[in-house]
Amino acid sequence: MKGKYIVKRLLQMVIVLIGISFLTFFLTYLAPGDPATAMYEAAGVTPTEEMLENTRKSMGLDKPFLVQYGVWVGKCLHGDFGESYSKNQPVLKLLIEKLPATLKLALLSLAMMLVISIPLGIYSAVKQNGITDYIIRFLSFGGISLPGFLVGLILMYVFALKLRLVKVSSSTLGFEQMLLPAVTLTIAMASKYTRQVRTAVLDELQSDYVIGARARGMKFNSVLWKHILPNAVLPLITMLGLSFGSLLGGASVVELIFSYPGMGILAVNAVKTRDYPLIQGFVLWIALIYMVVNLVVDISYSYVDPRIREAG
Amino acid sequence: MKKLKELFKKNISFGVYTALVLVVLLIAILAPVLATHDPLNAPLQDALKPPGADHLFGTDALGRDIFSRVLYGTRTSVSGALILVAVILVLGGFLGLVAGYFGGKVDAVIMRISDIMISFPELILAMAIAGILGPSLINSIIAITAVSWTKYARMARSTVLKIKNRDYIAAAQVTGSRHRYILYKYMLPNALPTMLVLAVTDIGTMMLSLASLSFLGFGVQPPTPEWGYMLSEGRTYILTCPWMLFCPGAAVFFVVVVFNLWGDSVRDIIDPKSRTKKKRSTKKMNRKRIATACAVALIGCLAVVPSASAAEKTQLNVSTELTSATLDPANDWDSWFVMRWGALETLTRYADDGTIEPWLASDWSVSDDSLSWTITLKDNVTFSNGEKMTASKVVESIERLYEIQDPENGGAGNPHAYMTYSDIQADDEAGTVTIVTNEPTVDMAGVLAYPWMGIIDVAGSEGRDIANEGPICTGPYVFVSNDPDHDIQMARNENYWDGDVPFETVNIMKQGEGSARAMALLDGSADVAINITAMDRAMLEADDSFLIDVTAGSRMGNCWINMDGVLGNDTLRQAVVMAIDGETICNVSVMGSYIWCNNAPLPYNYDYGFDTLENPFSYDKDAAIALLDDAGIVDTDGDGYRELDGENIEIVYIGSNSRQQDVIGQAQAAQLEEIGLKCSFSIPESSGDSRTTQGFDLIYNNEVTTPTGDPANYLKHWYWDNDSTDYNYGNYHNDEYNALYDQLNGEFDTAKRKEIFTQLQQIILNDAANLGYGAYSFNICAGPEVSGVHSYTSDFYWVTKDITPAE
Amino acid sequence: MDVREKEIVLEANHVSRIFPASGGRSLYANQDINLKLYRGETLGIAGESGCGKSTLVRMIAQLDSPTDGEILFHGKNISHLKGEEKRKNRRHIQMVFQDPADAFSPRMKVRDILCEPLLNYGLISRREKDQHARRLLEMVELNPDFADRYPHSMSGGQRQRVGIARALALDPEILICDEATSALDVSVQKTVVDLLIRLQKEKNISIVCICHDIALVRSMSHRTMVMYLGHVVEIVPSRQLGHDTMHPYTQALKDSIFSIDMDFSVPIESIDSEAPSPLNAPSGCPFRNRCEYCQERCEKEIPALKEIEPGHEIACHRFS
Repeated sequence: MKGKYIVKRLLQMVIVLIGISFLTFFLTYLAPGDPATAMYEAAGVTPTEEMLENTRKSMGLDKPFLVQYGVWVGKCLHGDFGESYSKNQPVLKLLIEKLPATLKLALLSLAMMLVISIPLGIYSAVKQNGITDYIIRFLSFGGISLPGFLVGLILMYVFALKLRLVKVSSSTLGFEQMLLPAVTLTIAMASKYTRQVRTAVLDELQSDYVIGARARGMKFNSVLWKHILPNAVLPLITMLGLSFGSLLGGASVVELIFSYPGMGILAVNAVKTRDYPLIQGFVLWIALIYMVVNLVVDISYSYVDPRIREAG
Repeated sequence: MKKLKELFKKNISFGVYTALVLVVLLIAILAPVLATHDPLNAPLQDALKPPGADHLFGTDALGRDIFSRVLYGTRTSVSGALILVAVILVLGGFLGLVAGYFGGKVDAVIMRISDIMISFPELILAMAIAGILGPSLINSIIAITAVSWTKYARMARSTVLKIKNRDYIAAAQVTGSRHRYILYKYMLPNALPTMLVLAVTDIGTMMLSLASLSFLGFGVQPPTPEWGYMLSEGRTYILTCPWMLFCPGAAVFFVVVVFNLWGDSVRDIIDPKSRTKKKRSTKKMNRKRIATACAVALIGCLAVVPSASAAEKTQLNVSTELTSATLDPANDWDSWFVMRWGALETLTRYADDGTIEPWLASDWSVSDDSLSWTITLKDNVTFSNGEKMTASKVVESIERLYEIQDPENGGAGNPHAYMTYSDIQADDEAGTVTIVTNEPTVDMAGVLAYPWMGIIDVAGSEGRDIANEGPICTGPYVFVSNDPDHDIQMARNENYWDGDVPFETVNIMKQGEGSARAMALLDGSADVAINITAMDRAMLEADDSFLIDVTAGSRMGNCWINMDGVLGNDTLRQAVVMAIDGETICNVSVMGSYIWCNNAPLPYNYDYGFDTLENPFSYDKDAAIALLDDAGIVDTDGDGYRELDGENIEIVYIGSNSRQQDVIGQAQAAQLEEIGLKCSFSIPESSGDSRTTQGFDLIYNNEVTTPTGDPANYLKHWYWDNDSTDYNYGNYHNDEYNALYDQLNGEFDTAKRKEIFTQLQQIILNDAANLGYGAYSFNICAGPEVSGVHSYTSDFYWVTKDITPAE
Repeated sequence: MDVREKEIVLEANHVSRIFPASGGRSLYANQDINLKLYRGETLGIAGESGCGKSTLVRMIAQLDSPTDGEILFHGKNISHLKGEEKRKNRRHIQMVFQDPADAFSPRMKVRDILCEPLLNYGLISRREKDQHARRLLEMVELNPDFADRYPHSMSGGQRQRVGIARALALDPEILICDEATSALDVSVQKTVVDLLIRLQKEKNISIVCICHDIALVRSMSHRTMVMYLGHVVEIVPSRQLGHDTMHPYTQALKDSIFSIDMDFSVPIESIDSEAPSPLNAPSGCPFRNRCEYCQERCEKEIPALKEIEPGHEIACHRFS
């Protein structure tokens, strides 16, 4: 049964990927301007019409849309995702290059976020309406009310510029460089998750089985650890999957502010310079990662939740 | 009504928050009343003032009052967010209800589409849509809707699924209810509370999404005040004028908080599960300790961060705004960077006053027929691989360039535009290269100094991936690794032919954003910073430990004026030119990034007769107004803008984001509006088409006017002939100009050429055929640990062997 | 009165309903059901939970379609109607639901509930709602003031009456009662049953009544259909239930009735083992696992319904 389910999901993924790739291709095709003009603009040079035509031809931009799409699909199946217009390197290579950086940032942010929001969320729920609860709610509230880039800029201003505690940039891809972007992302996510954890735990606290368990004399701690937490955390797994996926896409704005060389900056620059192959490759990859992550999450969900497991 | 009152009494917080929301809405509605200034008015002399009595939140780069802009921004942001949420609610709700109720194929299709949309990274899709449809508020709403409707659809669908199998739905069906009746009367009211809660709690998030899009430049366009865009403007000035960032930031925060609080309280009312009045009995939780520990750990991380301090300085750290995609000198303009990083050298080089000096060559001369050039090479030059630079190798290098760039081979033909040759010969024994040009090339020495003529060891570079690893050259530093988005690593050329190379390694960091380069200098992670922004300069100049070498090169910014459009009217055009206070814009708005040249097409600091030029249309606002009034170009229909021959004047001005041309463009547009001329300034994603499709009255241009030390090519932009659509973008046609320009061909006498350049410029000035920004100044800055840093006017020499560790 | 002399209102021929279940198995909710419903009669359907009664009546009410076979209403096949045709046909076949708590939308007042069917078919205008609501309430012996109330503020018995009123609002020919009294207190049950009987006599409607209380079935229906595991095992005039019933299952059902006057000294006989699940329905006769008379033939062949006396059909190999 499991096998069939996985196969069905994989088939769905293929359909979705086709749909997405066609959509992006279509979108980029409709856009005004083309990579040739964008490329010259980026160099701050005003090319003559002749230069533009020559460059256009060499990029293959003069062929009809469906032909371009077909050619591209064919190449993809061979593992060739085209060559980036603005960087003259294979798209696949570029994406793979940037992946570790974004991966590290994503994992670090997620880890920090979990460490903060789960304990805080639980504590806030258990001590509902207490002072600590209010403080935590206040903070997490603030977190979701600030745009991510503003948080990043504030952090940069305070810690890097005024206090000179952290270097704004460093030459190596080390922990130092990841810190501020990760903290920025963490603040935004932790705020959201703390609230979710709090709500989930609150829900559980009111369910019949908890009241029953306590009525039977079970200690609150054990109720918490053995029953409430597992149940409350379950729906968070799905959310985690989604968040991780979007982090992998590169929290573009944050990366932009901190000049963090991840996939997010790659994507933003790709859109700005109309680098079609890069845009398509990027979107395809993000979609793929997203769906794989969600598939894994769904499968592990069925193993973790006994109700679904039994029905399996 | 009574119920409402009861509601407020029972839930005090709901009442409070609703009041706050109403306050925000009131502010939005009453913005014109509450604002202290006109948010679009841009008196440049008031630029960049800190918050004070006059301006509650200070002013921005164009002198606009930030407080008023924030107030007006409330309108845009709040209305945008509300519309956005409403649209998503309706669209997602409808699709979800339909999918859930009808099931089967409809459900499958809708859910699959929603899967596809979810898999899209939201920002990318939004950017893509904005790129296609054009950046605007409506288009960003469309973009965000496209990705966000799925949540609502799923929610609506799940509410349907919950009750679909209930008996009363079956009863409704059995008693003959139509599908749309059931949907409307049963499914919708059932779904509505949950969806409304979702919508209401989402308002804040949507506001932030819109702001993010505008921050990146894909949303609301200037000069409309909008918070996201204001934040991105403020980011550029974060070091020197932090209020530009924090005041709009605080506004965003406040409004979003208000809406979030309100949304939460609405949810608490409709879905009371989430709040209980019971107090839970508590015990000391370990969680608290863990949380505190984490917080401490975080702060500890920040405080204990080790900062590297260099013992002996063997590495040069350079922070740059730009890099090239490849390291192949034959690839269009990438040669500039191969040279800038200290790898590539040419036969000749530019001195700071524009004259040509020997470099890899020692001497050059031309034959009597002006076609045959003999270049004598220095005999001690070696490549970094130890090979001697012979005449044959020089020829190979030049031939390679011309072959790759040959239009017949798909190249762009760049060097061919300056010089083509019929023959090129090497004499290794004599150490000379002979080039026979097809046409008399007056500035041959200048052509040879151009970066793409840099000499590489073609044979020795075989087996290298030149684009990514760079070729074998003669310069003091060689490439080790290249990541154009992040950093380039260089190492000492152990076989350098011209003396000692001071540093073992060079680390070039790409830091294009805002003040990143200045900040790198400040915190010591960079020794040299290329082109820091003017506002950062002001701050660094105060600190003696930093050297800031500013110069103006031959790069000028200006506008092409479309003579075929409304500005073909001489009086109007002259008034336009007179209305612009270019000097204040240069000195104040962009804080000296440009140096005002009084509309002269060529830069002031080169030898092109600048001192003798006269501008009959210098800045004189009153004269401009008088000129228009006298000519009868006035406002007759009372809309505040002048008309020409009964038609409304609208000057379409296409700008760009780079090199602060957006600031200049906006300032100019504002000044035109001040004399009653409607000017719509916009920054499209790509301006290439506008230039050729003539969709402009004014369009920006930014160009190196004397790439090879001779401005003839640049002045061709005002030359009229059959090919003029290729470069005469403004359709300027003046017979006298044409005749003079023709004389340049074949005129080898530099004094005569200078006189012609001067006269050509004067004609342009007399015709008001140029709207200039000024000469683009650039700079190189150095920290205390290095010396020998210099900013060359030709902008090709950045990392040189003259940069050494400080004594 | 021999009901078979009246006209046939509804017919089910070889109706089967199979649901796909997880793991590639199938759930056989109904197998080869054949029945005839006559005008003016009450057909009771009895059986344990899971025997397929509800599935069958839902198909009759057009809430579901059979996988095999056909359902004919006055000779017209209504099993696979769609769209407006299906809706038009609904007027004639109405249903009273089991759980009065769930049978009404919590947001609607009684008046709206009762008039909804009428408005659906454009039979009345909005102004006339009041008067028709009163009429319907009177028909089920409820105070007309109830029109302004919400069902959840009424007792179970009152709600069930409202359900009956709603079902009868369109003057249907067939009324289906899906365990209409199961959720009610015993004392209230009788009044509801009495109401139904009276209404039937007045309007000459046919009632299909599902009940798992065999005693109740006997008291209110003309004929009783006994189902087991998706099959019809016996159709018998209700008078004869308890006397001449032949099928072993019906026998067991009858024996399981508790009553005040039964002999408490006799040991209670129950059937060994549990009913198998309709997923793993045994081959041959569905009852063979639990039948004391099971023979070899019973294991292989499904017994068909055969008429052994006028009006009395049975599906058992002992009687063929």
